[in-house]
Amino acid sequence: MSSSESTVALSTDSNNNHQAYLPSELGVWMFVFGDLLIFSVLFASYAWERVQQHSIFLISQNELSQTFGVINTILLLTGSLFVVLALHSARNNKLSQTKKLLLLAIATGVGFFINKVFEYKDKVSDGFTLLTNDFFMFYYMLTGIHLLHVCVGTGALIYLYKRLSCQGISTDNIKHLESGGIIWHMVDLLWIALFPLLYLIK
Amino acid sequence: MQLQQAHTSSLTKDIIIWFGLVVFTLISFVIGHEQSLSAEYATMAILLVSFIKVRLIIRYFMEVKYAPKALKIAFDLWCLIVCAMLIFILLFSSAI
Repeated sequence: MSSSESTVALSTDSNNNHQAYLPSELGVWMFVFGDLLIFSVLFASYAWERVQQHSIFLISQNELSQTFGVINTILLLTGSLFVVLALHSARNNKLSQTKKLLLLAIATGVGFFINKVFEYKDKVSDGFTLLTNDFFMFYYMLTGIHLLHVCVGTGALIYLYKRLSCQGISTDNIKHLESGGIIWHMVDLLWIALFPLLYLIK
Repeated sequence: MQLQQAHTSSLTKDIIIWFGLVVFTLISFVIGHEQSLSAEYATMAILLVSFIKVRLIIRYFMEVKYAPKALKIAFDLWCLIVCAMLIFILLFSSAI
């Protein structure tokens, strides 16, 4: 399917609900769904332990900086918007704009990573490590696995940027961009679920 | 020209969705600090707002809105089950 054809498919479906369009490929969706299922089990384990040790979890949670959490949420959401806009630009055959938007999305990923490193440093210097209690064990484990996802997502965006720089916009590269975008949005939505569980709920 | 207009409106919609997601994030933050709400109501409200955000990302940013029905149902079920499971564990499991 060419870029204009994929645009037609999207527009047709959004306007008339005639034809469904599967962005990316089935394998990518299966990977995303599998990852979401694994995280669901981790969320449930965390929630269960939180109920068993409510006061310890609540006291420990108060040691986290919600400001770091909010900044990271807004960074990832903005990164997601840049990826969406990059895909729109690619479908409209605007290479330079697509590359600029991808660079901005990559910057939000790097920003998230730096912010997280500062947050970890802050916690460790205050004496809160993986071994402090079960809350901090979950905190480092869940945010660590998520940070690994952020690195993979940012790596995928860097790969797409290089690919577009070498080959330009093609049907194949739009499919790749859709796949990279879906992975990136998954990273975003996992954080959207993690943030309230670790930082906000009472 | 029509396609261009469809894209323009879609772009505007994506920016509005992003703005809504940021506003929802700030609402969760405020609820988290609100002392007048009971802990149970605050937790439930924070989780519901978060899963509305998750669904918005899935539908609009991941373009599941345009995908085949099976994918839409799978993701909607995931959102519903995980949100309900977390509310149940956090608020009602201690009574069991």
